[in-house]
Amino acid sequence: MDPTRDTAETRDLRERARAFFHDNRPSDPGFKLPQTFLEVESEEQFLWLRAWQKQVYGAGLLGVEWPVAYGGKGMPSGSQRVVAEEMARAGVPFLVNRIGLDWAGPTILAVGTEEQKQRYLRNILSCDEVWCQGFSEPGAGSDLASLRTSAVRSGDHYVVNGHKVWTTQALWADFMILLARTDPSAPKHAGISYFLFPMKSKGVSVRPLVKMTGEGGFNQVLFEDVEVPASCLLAGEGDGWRLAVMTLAFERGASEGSATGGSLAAGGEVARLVALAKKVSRDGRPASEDAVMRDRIAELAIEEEALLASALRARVPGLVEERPLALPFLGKLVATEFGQKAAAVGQELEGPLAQYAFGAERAADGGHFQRAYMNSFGFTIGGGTSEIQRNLVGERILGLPKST
Amino acid sequence: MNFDLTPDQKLLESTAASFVKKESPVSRFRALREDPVGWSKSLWKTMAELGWIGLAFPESAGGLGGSFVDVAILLEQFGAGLLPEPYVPSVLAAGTAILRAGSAEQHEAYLAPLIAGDTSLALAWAERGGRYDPTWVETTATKKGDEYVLQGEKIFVQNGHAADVIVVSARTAGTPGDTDGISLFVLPRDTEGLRITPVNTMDGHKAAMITLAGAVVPGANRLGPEGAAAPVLDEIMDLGAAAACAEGLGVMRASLAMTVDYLKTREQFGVKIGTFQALQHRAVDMFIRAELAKGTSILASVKVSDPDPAERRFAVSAAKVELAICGRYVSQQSIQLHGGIGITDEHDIGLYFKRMHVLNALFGDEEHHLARFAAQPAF
Repeated sequence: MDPTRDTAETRDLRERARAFFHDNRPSDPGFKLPQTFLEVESEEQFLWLRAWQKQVYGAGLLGVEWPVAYGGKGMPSGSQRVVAEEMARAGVPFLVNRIGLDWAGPTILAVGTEEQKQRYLRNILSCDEVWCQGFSEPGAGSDLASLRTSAVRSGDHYVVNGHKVWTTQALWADFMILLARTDPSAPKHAGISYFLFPMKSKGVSVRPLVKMTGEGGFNQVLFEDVEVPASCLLAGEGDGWRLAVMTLAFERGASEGSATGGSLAAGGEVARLVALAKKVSRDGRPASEDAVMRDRIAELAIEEEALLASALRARVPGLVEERPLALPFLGKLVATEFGQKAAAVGQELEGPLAQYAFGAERAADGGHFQRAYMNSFGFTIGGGTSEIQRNLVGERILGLPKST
Repeated sequence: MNFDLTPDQKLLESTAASFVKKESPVSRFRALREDPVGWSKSLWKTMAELGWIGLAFPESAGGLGGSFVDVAILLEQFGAGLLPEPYVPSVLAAGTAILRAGSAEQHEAYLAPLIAGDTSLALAWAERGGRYDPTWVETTATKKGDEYVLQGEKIFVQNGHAADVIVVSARTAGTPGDTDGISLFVLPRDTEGLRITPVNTMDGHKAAMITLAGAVVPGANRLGPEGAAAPVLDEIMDLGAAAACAEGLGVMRASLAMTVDYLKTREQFGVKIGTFQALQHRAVDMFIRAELAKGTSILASVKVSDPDPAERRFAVSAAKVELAICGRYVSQQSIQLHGGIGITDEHDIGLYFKRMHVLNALFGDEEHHLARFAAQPAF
């Protein structure tokens, strides 16, 4: 009845996960780790994070809901979230192959051929193959369906030409989920196809971008007459938009089917704020004793509670059937905007110290919150901006007329 | 209402929804605003016959042994139709006081007729100096032989204007703010020295201000041991707050539905105003707020029955704060998006707005619950 309580099965998994993350917490690598999977910028970071994911998978804690035949554990829905909660609780590093685990993987699982499932899924979990996403283009952001990268069929292969942008982890990726136009004469949504594209192909070049935090992570990817086998196509020609919408639903927080438990609302930021509030002082006392600061943090803690409750509701299959889009959209919209607010309050706690760049020796909490604040925009913009999310909720859930 | 409703609960939900639609459309509440009682005894009886009052009580006390989640399912539907019958004051407030503190004889005497729908009750706990603290009891009960003499004042007693029996908290020892020394007494409304002054609350409901001027109460009318009522009142505060959250879900749902409907029909500049992105995004933000409050409300309705008071308080305070924030947003925007017609008495949206305003003030407002939440040891 009480959905916050474990069942016998999840209790066992939780205990195993808790023990594992306690006993195997990685030691400091001696270099700066990225805050999220969007900021992996160096090979040493990437290799270190890949080893960590391999270790988690080796312990039987990743892909637990995926079928055994594809490297998973075949456990019931909701199991992976238990692991995600324990990861958040232990504060261990994130899983680097996020795009494979949560976006590409579930899409392949849903619509791939048996051969494709066998070929790709296990290596996603083990991190032997890393994935990136080729959706956005310089001219196709919020209006994704206007994309112009082309894939022209020629015998038993396609020839790809075009330009993708905001491509996280493209520098290391083995594969890309690629949207390309296969039929330029069809209406814009109908002419798109979805490819499982090998990144190491001849004619692919990757150019890193630098973010306002000074970090890398995003890239541009250019395709010049790249030939890939026709078997790279997922589902049929022209099915690309339907599959893109499916992938975006996973990206926006649908937890069903994702390999990491879709942890947009896994929490942890409030605990970090409380810890900081105890360390910094205000009027000669710890900020945690200041009434105004306590109020600020309590409000965030309650909003975090509301997000967690929404995440619990998103797990109830009946509800997801009733309004399939509502909760994932809310998760993405609210969780990302929440992250921004929490980071802003973190900087208020720091006071003048908030002027330090992250990584500065004397910055409070290593400058975590100023870095999180700047990086939070990657989440309110990526995967469909908050404004596009609002358009979709308005039209599809509230049934409002299309805006003019 | 959901996390995962049972088939019985789904049936309860649809029964209550169609009952409210048929028996108590908003026009009924609108008309009852002019009535001195403000609700209907015959509808109360029907609700009892449907088993809805008994639902909140265990079988040992003559009830049907439902859970608080069952009750919350009802309250959400009541909120959606602004049903004015005194469910929360009778059943959850006074009823729980009698259930928890009373003897088997007292259950028989007071709960049996309530469950049958023949009486309604009220709980007089709030005082002028106490805001939302039920231990702030200045009212005294002085023992004289086998009787107690009650002296003091109680404010905003929900259903106090109509209740057959009023449960009153009074101090048999200690000073205001002490947990020890608070006792509960059952007073029939014709008790001498019990003065009931009806008051119209801003949302069109009724309550009473109560004066106890040397009211004499037999010792047999004390509920439970002398001076030990604070934990019962503490639990009732959380039940009441969780109930306000459940009712608020219905209020928000109806406000949002009316507003979205208005956006789809009202035309300006030659088009439906719902085509304007500025208004669409506002409506989406209303929807988001309503959904967020739904999550915390459901969690509170599950956790309010938790035997650990700390768990109970955490979930209930979070939900009540979220109700205040989200409910305020939804109801403010619902008026704003209706434009001029929204500020008239003639339009129903204002009735929902005012109910949300009063729900915030019942059983602890935002400030109260935020402070309580922040005072938790874990925080």
